[in-house]
Amino acid sequence: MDWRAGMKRFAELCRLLDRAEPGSEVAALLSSYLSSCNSEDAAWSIYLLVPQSRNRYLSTQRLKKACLEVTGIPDWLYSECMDETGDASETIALLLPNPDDREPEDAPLAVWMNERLPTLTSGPIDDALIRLKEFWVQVDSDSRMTLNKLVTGTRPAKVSVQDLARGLSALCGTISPVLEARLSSPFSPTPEWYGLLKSPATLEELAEANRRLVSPSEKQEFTAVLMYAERGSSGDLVLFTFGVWHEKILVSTAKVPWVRDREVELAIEAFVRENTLEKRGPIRVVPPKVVVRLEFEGVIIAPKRKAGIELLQPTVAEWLIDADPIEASTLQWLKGLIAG
Amino acid sequence: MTNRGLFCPAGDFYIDPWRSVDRAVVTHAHSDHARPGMRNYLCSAEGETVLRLRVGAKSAIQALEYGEVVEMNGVKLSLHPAGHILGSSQVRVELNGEVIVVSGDYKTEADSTCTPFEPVKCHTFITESTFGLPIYTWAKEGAVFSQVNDWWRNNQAEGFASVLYGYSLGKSQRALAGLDPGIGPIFEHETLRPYTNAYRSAGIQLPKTKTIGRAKEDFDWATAMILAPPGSMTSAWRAHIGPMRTAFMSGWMAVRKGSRGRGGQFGFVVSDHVDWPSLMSAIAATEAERVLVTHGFSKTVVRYLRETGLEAYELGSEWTGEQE
Ligand SMILES: [Zn+2]
Ligand SMILES: [Zn+2]
Repeated sequence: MDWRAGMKRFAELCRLLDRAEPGSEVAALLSSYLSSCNSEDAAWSIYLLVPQSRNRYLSTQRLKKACLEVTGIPDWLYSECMDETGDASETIALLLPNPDDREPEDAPLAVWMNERLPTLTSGPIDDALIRLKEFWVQVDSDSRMTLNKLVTGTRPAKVSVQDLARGLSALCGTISPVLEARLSSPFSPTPEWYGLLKSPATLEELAEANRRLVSPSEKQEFTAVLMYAERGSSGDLVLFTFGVWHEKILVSTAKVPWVRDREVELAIEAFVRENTLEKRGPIRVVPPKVVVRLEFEGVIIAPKRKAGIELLQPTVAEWLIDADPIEASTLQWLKGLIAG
Repeated sequence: MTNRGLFCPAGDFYIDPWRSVDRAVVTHAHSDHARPGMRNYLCSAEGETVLRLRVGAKSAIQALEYGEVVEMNGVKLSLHPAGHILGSSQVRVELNGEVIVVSGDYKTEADSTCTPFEPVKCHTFITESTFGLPIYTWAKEGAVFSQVNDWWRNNQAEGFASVLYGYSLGKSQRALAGLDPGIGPIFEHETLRPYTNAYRSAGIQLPKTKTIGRAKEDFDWATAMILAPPGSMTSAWRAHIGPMRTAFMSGWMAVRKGSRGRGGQFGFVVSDHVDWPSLMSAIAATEAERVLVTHGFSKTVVRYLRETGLEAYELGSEWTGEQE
């Protein structure tokens, strides 16, 4: 694989990750990409890919405004395009004209992140939009969607920490449970941090990894039904609400930002797109048909919630395609877990 | 528009009807436009062979050269190149000085596998709108096929056969014309064969192909490019060919959602339809004062055209767009 410089190269990685099988294929892509990166770009790439909150330089609304100014297309037509793609960064990237004869002025990813994008947050907004429009012609058309995601603080590709750790492990030899632990604590994307990330494991880290391997954290699970999905400002579905039964109605019980398996996530997203019954702001109401196995780390009492409880770290473990929604768990059963 | 299709009462003929009629003018041989069971067909001379493959060899077909005029009950009818697939036509109908043009499916960018599109001046233009949204803007054909050839070379280097999915009539032959036969052997799925041969007999230059069943037992598929219709790679074929990479050619590949919805998650943006900018320039080139829009994003295109000051309406049809 030929990895050219800068944003183009990172965008290409994101595009490949988007359609790669989670697991070894994703890990292989990441290690191939990172092995040819300098440590500044590697640190930024990892920072941008891990699930965490990112800096938002401009809102999607601002990007849209700039896009409409550049293209001259009316607002309603933009909305129709948005319905077709389901993603603001992608819509805007596709609408912008292609500067055929202009040589892109790409730069290393670290330069984009340390120098270029921060200029979008200083000074009057009109100046920021002028700079944004310059950025749009500094990259080629294939890289614009990724650039838009970075500007709006959206994750440019969904990669699990596990696969990232596996990819890095192939590169530096440190075992992946240790890398996973390192990636799970907050960090700044500097070359120094990247050096430390790849350093050999300490005895404490090995002991800790071992302990976790021997006694995996006690995961509990139940069966729930998808009630709503929520669109983020980017247009992506960012939060899924699942319910369980209480006196013959579904009560929303778990808000889940995280679907473990990318394929399942795509399938659920497709279901939501095709079966939306009603839109309430960013909320998409769907018929109670998607039954999943949810894993979580614990339950606590939460009097302010409709269900009266809150689940810790819920993730979708599996879509139970053949299950009848009636088979989902009951609220009573979940509450029983607190007492026990 | 009737429940059988687009009808011209004065000339007593239908254009691309979907139920059986006496006289059917057929724009091109895709299955949503050319259906078997019509008493009489009229199509372009360039499209006759492929139309026979679709509607039956013994069908009564009258073939017209592009631009040749026939009279039907005082209505002057002629066919003009649409640049969509071999033999695809726009239909020009003239009665008492009033001219209507039905675009059929069309594409304005020229390619080597059919006569290029020609704009036809008219009072009323009936246009398709399969990709009638401004997010659909195609790159030049040459750029896309150089990506396809790079992909093939790369797969070859990594030991994978390349399987390129595209519809059996039109898309696959266009891909074939864009492939570089210097890279390796090119195979085609059995179902493509009759269409590819029809293209060759119409004088279209295409690289040599073999059908996949014809390869020797110990053939090294990793060097090969295989053209096949979507869904045709059965598990038996997969086992026979071994490690393979697949890609889908379609205009829908321009959008991530579109590529996910089509099994193969990877693809190339190759369309035989107009993109948004060409749709707008094609409409302008007809100088039509009235535009009827069908086959795709008709509502959107109508609203946009009205905002630019044109008289535009939606026209319902059972033509289904880029699946053919
Ligand atoms: Zn067609
Ligand atoms: Zn069609």
